[in-house]
Amino acid sequence: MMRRIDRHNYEEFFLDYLEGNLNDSEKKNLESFLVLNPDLKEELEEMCLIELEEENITFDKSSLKQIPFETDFEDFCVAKLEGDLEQEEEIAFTKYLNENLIGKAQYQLYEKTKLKADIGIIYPDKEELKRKERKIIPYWMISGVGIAASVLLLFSVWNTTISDKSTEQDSTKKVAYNDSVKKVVIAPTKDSDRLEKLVGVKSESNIAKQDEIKPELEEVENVIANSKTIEKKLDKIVTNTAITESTTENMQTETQKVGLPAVIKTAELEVLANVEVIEPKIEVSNQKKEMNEVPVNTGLANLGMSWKSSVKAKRKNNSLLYAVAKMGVDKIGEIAGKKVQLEKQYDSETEKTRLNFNTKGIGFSTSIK
Amino acid sequence: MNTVEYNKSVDKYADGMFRFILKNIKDEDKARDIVQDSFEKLWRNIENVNYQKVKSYLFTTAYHTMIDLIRKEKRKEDFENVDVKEYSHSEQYSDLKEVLNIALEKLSDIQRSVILLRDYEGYSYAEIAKITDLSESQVKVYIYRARKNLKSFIGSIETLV
Repeated sequence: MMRRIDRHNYEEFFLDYLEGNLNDSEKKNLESFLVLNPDLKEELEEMCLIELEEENITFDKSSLKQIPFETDFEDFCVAKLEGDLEQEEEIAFTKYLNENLIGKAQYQLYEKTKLKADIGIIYPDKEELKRKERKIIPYWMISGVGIAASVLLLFSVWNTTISDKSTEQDSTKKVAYNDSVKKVVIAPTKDSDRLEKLVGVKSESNIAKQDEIKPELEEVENVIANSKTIEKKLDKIVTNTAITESTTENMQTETQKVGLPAVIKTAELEVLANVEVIEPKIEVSNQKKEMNEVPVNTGLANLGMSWKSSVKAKRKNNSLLYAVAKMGVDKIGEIAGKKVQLEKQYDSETEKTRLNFNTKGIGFSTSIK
Repeated sequence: MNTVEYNKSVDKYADGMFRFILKNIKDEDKARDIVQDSFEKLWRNIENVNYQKVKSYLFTTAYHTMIDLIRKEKRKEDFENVDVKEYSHSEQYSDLKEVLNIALEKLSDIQRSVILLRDYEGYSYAEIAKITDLSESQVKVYIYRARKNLKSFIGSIETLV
C-alpha cells in the first residue's frame, strides 16, 4: 500500500528520502508535495546540510591484549639464568628478549650477576692438612732398642732354660769364651776331683777371663752368674787347651753318662748403642757335635754300656723356637718399619751354626750348635 | 674412605672451601681455621665418610662452622629488607668484578652463601639445601632474591657511571 505524504507525516518521508529508502513513486509524490509546500522544501534542504563526517579515531587495542613476561619479567630473567625454564618457556622468553630491547638490556644485567670463582685464592697450607698412613705400634716397640731388648730377653730366657735343664740333667758342662781358643770344661763337684787328678792344672786363665766379663743386661748377667756358680763349684778346672783336648775323651765319657749335651756358655756381652752391627759378643757354644756322636772309645763302651743322645729332641725344640722367634722378629720389624734381622748361619769351616740378631741399636751372635 | 682418598680430598676441595669461606667472612685467618677444622672433623670420621660424598661433607661442615663463628661474633645482620640503593655510592669502579664483590657484601649471609655455592661450586638447589639445612624452595627463593639484589646494585652503579 502506497503511503501518502501530507503535512503530518512529511518528516518520515524526509528521513526516508535522506536515508535513500523511498521508491520511485514515493520520490515523485515527495517532489509533488514539496512543490505544493515550498516551506517544507526549505526545511528538507536544511536537513540535507547536516551530515556528520567520520572522525579518524583509533584505539590502542594492544593495551587490552595479554603481554607475556610483563608482570614476572624479573623472575623469568633469573629463571633463564639459572636454567629453570621449560624448553617452551625458554624459546618464548628468548624470542621476547630479542624483540624487546629494554627487556634484553635488563637480562644482560642479570647475566653479569653470575659470580666467577677467583682461582687466585688458594688454601696455603694444604700439605699440613694431609695425613700419613696410620700404623699401630705398641709403645714398647717404638724404638729399636726396645725391640732389641725384648728379643734379647727372649733368647736369654731360652738359653737360661736350656742351661737350667742341662744343669739338672748334665753331669758335665763345658764353658768356652768366644774370644778364646781355650775351652774350659766344667765338671760337677763330684767329678772335679777326678778331673783334677787327671789334669792336675787349675784353670786360672778362665777365672781371670771371667772377671773381665761385664754384662750390660740383667738377663745376661743371670746367665753369667749361673755359669760362675757352676765354676765356683768346680774349684779345680782344666784350662790348658792341650790338656783339655787330651781329656776330652774322658769328659765325653762323663757327659755321655747323663746323655745330655753340654751347654757351654760364653759370657761376654757388650752393648753398644747406635752401632749398626755389633760384633758378636755373646757366644754360646754347645759342644753338641761331640755329644751327638756316640764315641767309639769311651769308658762306657769299654764297659759295654751304650748311651743314646737326646740332642735330636733338643734340636727339634730349638728349630721350633727359632721358627717362632724368627716369625716374631720379622713381624716386629714389619710393624716398626725398621731393620731387625734374625738369621741362622752355618759355617762349614767351624761346623757351627750361628744365630745372628741385628738391629740398628744392638746386635749379637750366638753359636747354637 | 682411606688415607689416600683423604689426601686427595685435601688437594681437590681445600681451595674451594677456602674461597667460599673467605668470601663470606672476609677474614683469612678464620677462613683457614674453618677449613682446617673441617678436615680435622673429616679425619676423625674418615671411617664413616664415603669418598663420593666427601665434598658435600666438607662444605656442610665448613658452612656450619662458619655460621657458628658468625653467630658467636654477632656479625649476623639481616639484609633481607635492605635496599641496595642505600649502599650505592658515586665512586668509580674499575671493573665488574669489583662491583660484584661489593654487591656480594651487601647481601644477607644466607643469600651470599647460597649464591656462592651455586656459582662457585655449581651445586644444585638440592645440594645447597642439604648443606645449608634449608628446603629446596627456600634455596631457590634466596638465590632469586640474591640475583635481583645483585642486578639492582650493578644497575644502579651503571646508571651512576
